[in-house]
Amino acid sequence: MIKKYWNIYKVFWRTSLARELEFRANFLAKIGINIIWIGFYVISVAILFNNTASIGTWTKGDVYILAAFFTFVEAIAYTIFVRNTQEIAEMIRNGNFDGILLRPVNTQFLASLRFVSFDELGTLIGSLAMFIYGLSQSHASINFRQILLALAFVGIGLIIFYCFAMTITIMVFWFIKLDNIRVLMTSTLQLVRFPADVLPTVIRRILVVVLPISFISTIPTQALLGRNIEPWAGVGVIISLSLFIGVKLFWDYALKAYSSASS
Amino acid sequence: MDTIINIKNLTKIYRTRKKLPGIGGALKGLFSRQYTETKAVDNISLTVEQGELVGFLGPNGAGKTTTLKMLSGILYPTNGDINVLGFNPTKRPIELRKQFALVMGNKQQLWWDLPARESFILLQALYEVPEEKFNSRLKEMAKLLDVEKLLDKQVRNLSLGERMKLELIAALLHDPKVIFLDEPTLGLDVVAQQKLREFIRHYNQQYKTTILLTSHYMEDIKALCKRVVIIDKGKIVYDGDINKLSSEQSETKTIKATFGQTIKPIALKKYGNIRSLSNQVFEIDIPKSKLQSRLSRLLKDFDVTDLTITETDIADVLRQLFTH
Repeated sequence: MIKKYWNIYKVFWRTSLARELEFRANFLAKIGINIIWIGFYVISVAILFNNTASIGTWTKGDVYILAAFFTFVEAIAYTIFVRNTQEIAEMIRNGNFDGILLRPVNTQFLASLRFVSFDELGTLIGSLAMFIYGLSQSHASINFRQILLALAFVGIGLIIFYCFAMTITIMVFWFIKLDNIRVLMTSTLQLVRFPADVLPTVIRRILVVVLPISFISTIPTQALLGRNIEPWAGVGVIISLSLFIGVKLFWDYALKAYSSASS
Repeated sequence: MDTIINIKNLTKIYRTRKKLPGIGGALKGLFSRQYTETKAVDNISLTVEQGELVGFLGPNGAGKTTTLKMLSGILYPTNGDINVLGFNPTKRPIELRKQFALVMGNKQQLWWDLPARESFILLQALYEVPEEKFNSRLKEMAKLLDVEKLLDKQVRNLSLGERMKLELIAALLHDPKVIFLDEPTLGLDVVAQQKLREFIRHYNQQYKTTILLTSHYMEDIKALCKRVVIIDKGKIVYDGDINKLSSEQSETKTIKATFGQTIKPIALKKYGNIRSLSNQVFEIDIPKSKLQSRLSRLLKDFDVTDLTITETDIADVLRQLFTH
């Protein structure tokens, strides 16, 4: 079973890459543009820290690591599923979603993972560069356990991102057009650009257990640098995993509604 | 022989929102919505045996596509039972999805920017087709449809006819036991239509695959199907041998008469519906009940040198049926 899906997933990568390479100039331009965006961010952080040595307990190196985490999670999310969730909305609108329903594999797997987007390759390279630079500037001592914990939280962050993107997409089954809500999601996610502990406590807690986007940047950074991790993070992990199951149930429910309503 | 498709008392009712005209109507619609119900499929029953190639006919909006979509599990029926290959498509079991194919002439499944071969490889993975079988089937079908050279060309660079052939291969790669073909020849020229038709016939005979075909081109149906099911306003109005359709359902017979002299069409109007083939040869559709009397009058009034009586053409019979 897992082998079957793994084989299919490898073919998704293969076809997506073949398609990407059809448009070589576009591909290279996108990498360039992403690196420039990261460059802007790096410069603005550098200017900020020219005037002060730290913000709260965060030094310049720490902030670069934080930025590396959220650009990394965002880039991975765009690579593996964000574009698919937008595509699902489009397919529901034009009726091509029927074709997805016919394939003999899990429909959610196929619909949300079938295109791999290489648009964010530049961002990935940029986030890696920021990460290395941030580490070189940071005074924290890092051990293997901290790295593993940070990676586990990045995984949770990705699951949360997936749940958000899918929830909005699933609503399209009923409302057809929801572009504005998608904008709301993108703006909400901007919050992860700041270390959560500079925010008021109430908002901090909300970002761990209600809208658990702290898992996208703050918490992995705290884990990696051996700092105190956001309170309630354990609850947040359980909530995030439940959210994932919730999204699956919501999806199944939406498919039923789609099949009994659409023409 | 095995029954492949079994439909009992199938009904589908669509509920659509009523839109009131104008801005006032649109605003009203934001708060209170009114719905109308449309019966797309109305209590139909049907069985199809293994290896049959059944033509599904009907005007636009008759319920053909809705029925095919319910058979595929895309739509849930409002009422009634469906069984395809022993499964209930409404539950969309993966085992069933592996064994059938739905081809829609107006939808495409091939990746637009890639050569068809890439899409085929993706389908191979999705349907778990073993490498050897995949290669031999692809080779065979590509040869039959004469598209071997097109497999590695980007789909966006192909003509509609070429693309449709590749779409058909894509749908058949996994060796489905049942195929639903919804308007496969839509928009194709006569040569491409002919080629596709030949392929479908050959495929049905070779593999004993059960095929349900809808088409607006009577030529498709006449060339391929022994049995036709005619559906109108959601109801089955005829289910049987295509060759008996005219004799059983037509209200008219068609006579072809050659006259000794030039005739003005207007002079023949009172005998029935006329089509002039030349100014001496005419086809006339005469109601069956009045055939004898009108024919004897025609022979008395005119100098008829040749006369044949045939069944009215199927396309005309359908027109009679649907305009009732």
